Amino acid sequence: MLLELKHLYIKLNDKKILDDFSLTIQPGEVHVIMGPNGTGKSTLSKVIMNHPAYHLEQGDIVWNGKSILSMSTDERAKLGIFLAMQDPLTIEGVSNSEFLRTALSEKEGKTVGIFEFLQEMNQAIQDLKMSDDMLHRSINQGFSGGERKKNEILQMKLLKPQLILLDEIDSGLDVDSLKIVCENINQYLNENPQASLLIITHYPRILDYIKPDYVHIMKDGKIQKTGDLSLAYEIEKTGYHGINDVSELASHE
Amino acid sequence: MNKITVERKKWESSLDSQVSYQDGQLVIEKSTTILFDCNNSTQPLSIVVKPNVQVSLIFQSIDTKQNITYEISENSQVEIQHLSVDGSDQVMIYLKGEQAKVSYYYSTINRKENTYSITVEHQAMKTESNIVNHGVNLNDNALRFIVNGIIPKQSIHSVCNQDTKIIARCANTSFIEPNLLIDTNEMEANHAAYIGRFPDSKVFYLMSRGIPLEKCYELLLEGFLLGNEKLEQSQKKWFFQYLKEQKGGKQNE
Ligand SMILES: Nc1ncnc2c1ncn2[C@@H]1O[C@H](COP(=O)(O)OP(=O)(O)O)[C@@H](O)[C@H]1O
Ligand SMILES: [Mg+2]
Repeated sequence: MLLELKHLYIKLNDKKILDDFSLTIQPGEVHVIMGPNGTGKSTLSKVIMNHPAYHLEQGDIVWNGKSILSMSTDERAKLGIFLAMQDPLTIEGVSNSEFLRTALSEKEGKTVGIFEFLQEMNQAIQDLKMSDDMLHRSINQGFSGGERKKNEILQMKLLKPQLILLDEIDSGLDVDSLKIVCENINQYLNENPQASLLIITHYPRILDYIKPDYVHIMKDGKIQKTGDLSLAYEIEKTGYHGINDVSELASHE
Repeated sequence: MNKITVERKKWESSLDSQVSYQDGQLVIEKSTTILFDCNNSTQPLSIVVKPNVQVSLIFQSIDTKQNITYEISENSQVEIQHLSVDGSDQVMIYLKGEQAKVSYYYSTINRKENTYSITVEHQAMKTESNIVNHGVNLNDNALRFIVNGIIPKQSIHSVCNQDTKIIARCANTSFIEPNLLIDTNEMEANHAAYIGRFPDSKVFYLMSRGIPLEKCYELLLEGFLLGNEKLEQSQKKWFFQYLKEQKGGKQNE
């Protein structure tokens, strides 16, 4: 068992966002959570990483059998959880190279030499077809929406996580960039067959490139329905509004 | 490089022929760069920039209470990088001729009670000022920024930009007092002011890559104070040691 989300409850401004949310992800699995905007998908991803604005009221998050609720964000990252964010921030004045080299050094537990670092970076930058000068620029400053998303995947390649959370990775990416990003993710999964992936998305477009083992439909704070890829395409056709009825019908059968 | 060292009231200089020093006044006739090293000084400085020159000034100052006055003539551009540790300087800038331009980047590390003030008076048409004040307050003492922009009637088509931020981690009594005195509509003026901590979202972003909280603050502080690309590594290093010093002290608290 890699990650277990157990009966998570969260309220924001008195509104229930996660309402008895549970999900288990095994090593090597690819999961997709789909759901309408405002359902709490990004909230879920931030709770897993312990964002200070999102306090769990109840429930447990278990990593390889141990609760990680008392762990800070950086400690959770060091376990091997990586969140590619929906809206990666700009951080003025801190260069990408300084940021990434610090992150890599923290992971390795020693200061990573500049040559070793650059070698690794240059390969990843090429793989993602990014521009060379990005390393010297401030984090995401002046980056297009697509470049920001590629920068997330660059960080993923560098930090080599066991569990990747992709929050709306396809938003802001044009078709060519989406293809490049997905190729890099697929390559990573091939090279690391024990690595797991949780794709959070509103649109099934990304599923043309990355094939999931499970598709979950999230609504009203929990998973309402689980299926395979065909469920995602069904949603594309019929939309989300029928989902509650569908599960009701199913339970009446 | 031109260098001026001021210690208490003692004044030493090694200057080339572009610059002359007479009667407490520095007169700059041609484009040049000057480094000021001010330590424990109350010595007033008066800097006169003749027409059509480009000047770059770098200050490294500790424990100073200096009156620094600039007179900038037409078509001249002056860029100032002022690194200060515990500064209570009073800066007065007169943009005297058409198209005179000043960019003033003031970064300070505050450990005592200090009041820094900077005033720009646009005395001619088409003049431009970009004033950036970034302060980090390391303990409970107050850091005060007084920022004045004066644009009289005749100074049409001028631009006056001011950006003032204080980062304070502890409970603080710091304040920013911006005053824009504008007598014409045909100009552009902006003032942004912020006092507080670094936003949680930025700290979260860095931490989610496995970087511990203290290290995130180091990165953010360095970026905040030394984000300006034009500084040399040795200058950045000189300044940054005062942040590190403090960090060591904090852990022992
Ligand atoms: N920090 C926050 N404070 C208050 N409400 C929030 C916060 N973040 C998100 N919300 C609200 O929680 C709900 C779920 O948001 P989000 O998780 O971003 O949804 P999704 O990613 O599924 O579109 C929305 O109604 C949103 O407005
Ligand atoms: Mg979202």
